[in-house]
Amino acid sequence: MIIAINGRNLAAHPGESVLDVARRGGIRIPTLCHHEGLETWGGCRLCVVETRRPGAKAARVAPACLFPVRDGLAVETDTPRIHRIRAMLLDLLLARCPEAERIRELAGEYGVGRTSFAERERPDKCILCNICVRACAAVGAHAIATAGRGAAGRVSPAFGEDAVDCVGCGACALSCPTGAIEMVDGEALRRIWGRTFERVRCSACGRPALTDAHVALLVRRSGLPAETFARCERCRREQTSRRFLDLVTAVKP
Amino acid sequence: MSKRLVVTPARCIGCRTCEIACAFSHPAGGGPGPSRIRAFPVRPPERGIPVVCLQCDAAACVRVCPTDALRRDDRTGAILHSEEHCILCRACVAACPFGNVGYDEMQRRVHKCDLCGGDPQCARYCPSRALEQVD
Repeated sequence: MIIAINGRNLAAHPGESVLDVARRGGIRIPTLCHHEGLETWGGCRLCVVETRRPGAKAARVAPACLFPVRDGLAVETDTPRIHRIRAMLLDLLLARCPEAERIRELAGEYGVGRTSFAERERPDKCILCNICVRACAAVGAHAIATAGRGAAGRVSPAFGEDAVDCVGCGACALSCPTGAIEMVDGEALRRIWGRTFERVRCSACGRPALTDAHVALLVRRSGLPAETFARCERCRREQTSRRFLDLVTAVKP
Repeated sequence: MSKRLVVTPARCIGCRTCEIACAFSHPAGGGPGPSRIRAFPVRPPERGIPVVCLQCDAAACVRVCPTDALRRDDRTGAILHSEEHCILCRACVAACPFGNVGYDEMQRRVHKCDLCGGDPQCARYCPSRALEQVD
């Protein structure tokens, strides 16, 4: 099927979203919560576009990430109406996270230098994109979720307590686009979400690697033997080289 | 997949040119990136053992990835890592039984051999044909 984005005809496949087709065609639509590896969430609304189905009288505003393609669909990604909506969203986000660089940059692009709302009293960098929550679920820990509403919205472990289901893998902190999640790595310990985890040392070099709870989760989910995770990747590689060396010396060239 | 990267450790002289070729063909942060191949020196006599991703059939890295960030490219046969799909859980790094998936802490990036899109530079620059691109 064919859809038109900004007057350009682009091939689309059933099941794709407007955002998928736009990205493939090199048309930029700003997003905050979209992540290729995670389930589409549609939470940030920054990807809103104007869509018009064939025969429709008026254009509708819809998030491109969730809007399924259909033949003859016409999309406009950067009209004054869309620009206004995005500027408002960024204005609100800037009040929430005045220190998040990503938001400041994007807001600047949409002509918002300073928020017209009251800044939060103790702002953090969390823009509620939910990538950490979905990453945590993908890892299989389900330790964090969104909580609260409006300005009090936040990502939190259940009941605001220490994250009992967290395994300390750190995927949430590393995939956070604004660096809002604090993870402190020490020689033997890792602190995150109010928990302190023991880091397992590589059985060969002694370097601290994964947390004990992360190893337990990986063993449970992958079915791989626990020995796989006893050495760090560098020492496992060296071990591979020694195995190859044994083979080479066994079969003389 | 018409070609294969063949490693013949007995021919390796341990010069580690492959590592340099790899690092320069995968730049990161404005300079050469972390090499995906490693030639472990063995001496005496002067030799080396190159270790690089085997692009396993039932690969552990693919199996443990929760977001399908590791997928086989049918054209080259390489298992490719997609940064857009990756959530940096590093399960692949931990799971590879050969230690062939790495994590760059500075760049926050998982890296593994991608066979350079079908023209592995390590093989191109290997002076002793320990690494070869074979039909």
